[in-house]
Amino acid sequence: MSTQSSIDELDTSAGHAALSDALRSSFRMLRWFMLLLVGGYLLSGMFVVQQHEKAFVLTYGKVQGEGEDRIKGPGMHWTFPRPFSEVVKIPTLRAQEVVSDSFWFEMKETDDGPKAVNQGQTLRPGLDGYALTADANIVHSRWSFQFVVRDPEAYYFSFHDPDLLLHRLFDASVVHAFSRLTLDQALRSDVSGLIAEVKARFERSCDALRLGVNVESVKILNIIPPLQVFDAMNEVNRMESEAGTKLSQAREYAETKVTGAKGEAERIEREGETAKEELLAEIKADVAYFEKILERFEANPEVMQQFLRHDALKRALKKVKTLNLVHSKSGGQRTIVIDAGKELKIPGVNDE
Amino acid sequence: MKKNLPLIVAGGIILGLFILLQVVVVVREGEVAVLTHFGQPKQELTESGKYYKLPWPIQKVYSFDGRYRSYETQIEETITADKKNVLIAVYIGWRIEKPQLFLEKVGSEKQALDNLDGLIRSYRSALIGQTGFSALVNTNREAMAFSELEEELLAQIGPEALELYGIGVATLGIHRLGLPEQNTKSVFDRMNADLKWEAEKYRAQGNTEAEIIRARADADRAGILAEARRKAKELRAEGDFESAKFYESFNKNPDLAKFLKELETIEEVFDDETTVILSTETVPFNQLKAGRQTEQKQPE
Repeated sequence: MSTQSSIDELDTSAGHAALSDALRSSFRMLRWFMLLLVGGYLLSGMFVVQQHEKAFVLTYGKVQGEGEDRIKGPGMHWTFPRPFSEVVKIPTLRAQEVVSDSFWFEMKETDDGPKAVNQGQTLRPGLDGYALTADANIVHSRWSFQFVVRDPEAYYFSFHDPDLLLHRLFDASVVHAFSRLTLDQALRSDVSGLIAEVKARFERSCDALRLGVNVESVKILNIIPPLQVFDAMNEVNRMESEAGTKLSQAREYAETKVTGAKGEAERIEREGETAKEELLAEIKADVAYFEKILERFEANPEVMQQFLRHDALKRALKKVKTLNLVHSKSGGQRTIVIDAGKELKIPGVNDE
Repeated sequence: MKKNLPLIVAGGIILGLFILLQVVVVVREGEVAVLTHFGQPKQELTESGKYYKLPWPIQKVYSFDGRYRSYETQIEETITADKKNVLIAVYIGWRIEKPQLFLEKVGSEKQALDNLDGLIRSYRSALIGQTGFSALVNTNREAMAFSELEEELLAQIGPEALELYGIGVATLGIHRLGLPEQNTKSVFDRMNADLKWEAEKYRAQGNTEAEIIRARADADRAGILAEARRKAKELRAEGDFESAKFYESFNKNPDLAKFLKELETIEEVFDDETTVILSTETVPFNQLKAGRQTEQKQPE
């Protein structure tokens, strides 16, 4: 009996020892597991802010930090993990583009490319977007705008759906701008004025609401008159182009005429100047010649006159083509035959 | 006891977390909340952060998004003061500003939108009904009252929304303005007629302006040439005038001057195309005649 009892005690103590070892080992493992769990939990509080982002850390729902420390810039950061803290990242530096089709008609894809769904004579409210111009005409347009978030705190924590609100503010700015311009101004003559008007009003609206954004740009992607007046509009463009061509041609004609006239005028004036100079030069030469021979002439006028006459006649007759001498008899009839093809030159009558 | 320590710790943590969740309230940035005591609103929690409360069912917290959000009405037809039908859609930027009043009078976002829609509709129709169409679109900017209309609408809706529903309206605008579908056809007809007239205007203008430019150019040319001729004539006159002083030298012997001028004239009028017929009586050709007479007399 005692032997049996001893054996039982030995078995029990061995079992307890094994169980105790197993529990010890399990607790050791559990401790490590708990340590790993705590470590992993704490590590989950690390976060990276990209170069185009800003981040806020909310501790118990409130933004952590004061002043500029409230905003976490690019880099690695750490905070207590959820449920104590929460990280909110906002893209700020990268410009975000929004396209507004609010004033464009419904389109469908066809084999020939996108086409207007509505080919009728009216526009369907809510489906075919458009704007009214100052002269109560209709115009279709597609727009886009780009913005960057300047104040991420205001942008994210003051507005539930800032993108949607921005879109509505933008659409209202477009409605306003069109309502102040005529169709012609909006389509052709003052498109830049239209864009400037939309941008200015849109910026004012964003600033008034303290949305915390900077409007970088506003663009018109398309602007057209209604399809229902397209042919008439094309005719206007064609006529305008034709009128432009006619005006260009007329201006070219005017330029040629006036430039030619200026050249001719200069020539006429130069001729006048030359004639004046020639006249003066000639008279000066005549006077010089006169002065030179005057003394000798007065000393012997008869002889001098004869010599001068003969010299002049000699020089003159040297130039002539034909010299005919007609012999005259006293009392007889004289007949002179002149070649009809030649012009008879009579000094002072036809010497032009 | 020692053996159960981990279990006790784990249980304690779970119990602690449960109690914490029951007594701590976190109001997130951008949120507003109302604390109720046995259903009775007790405190508005409008600042973000952590608050403490008694556990449910004694106290309860109702949280709402306190940020601005947008709401837009459907595009609806309304009549202006001058009996013109227009389609208008209005958007607003709104938020919960008095959470307790909002909880009591509204309760949910859907109900808030229904209430706001009703407010906007009634005031919009009334206001547009007092406004002429020309105040909405006009080539004369001074006659427009678009912004004033929006401001007036906001001034009417804003205070009422705040007072009745605890909702603050920060902005309001017309983001769609159009015409009823059947009216668009008549606009197209008018636009077509206007454009036809405009095309004709361009054609006529092009012709007229081109003609004017050409006529002006011809006139300019004539003027430039006339002016040039006048100047040339003036220069010639100056030449004549300046040469007159040289004529005084000829007064020393006018006969010689006249004689020299006559000789010069004779020389100038003759050229290589000239045929000259002279009598044998002319000096010096009379010498030929004298010679011939001498030859004829010799045989005698």
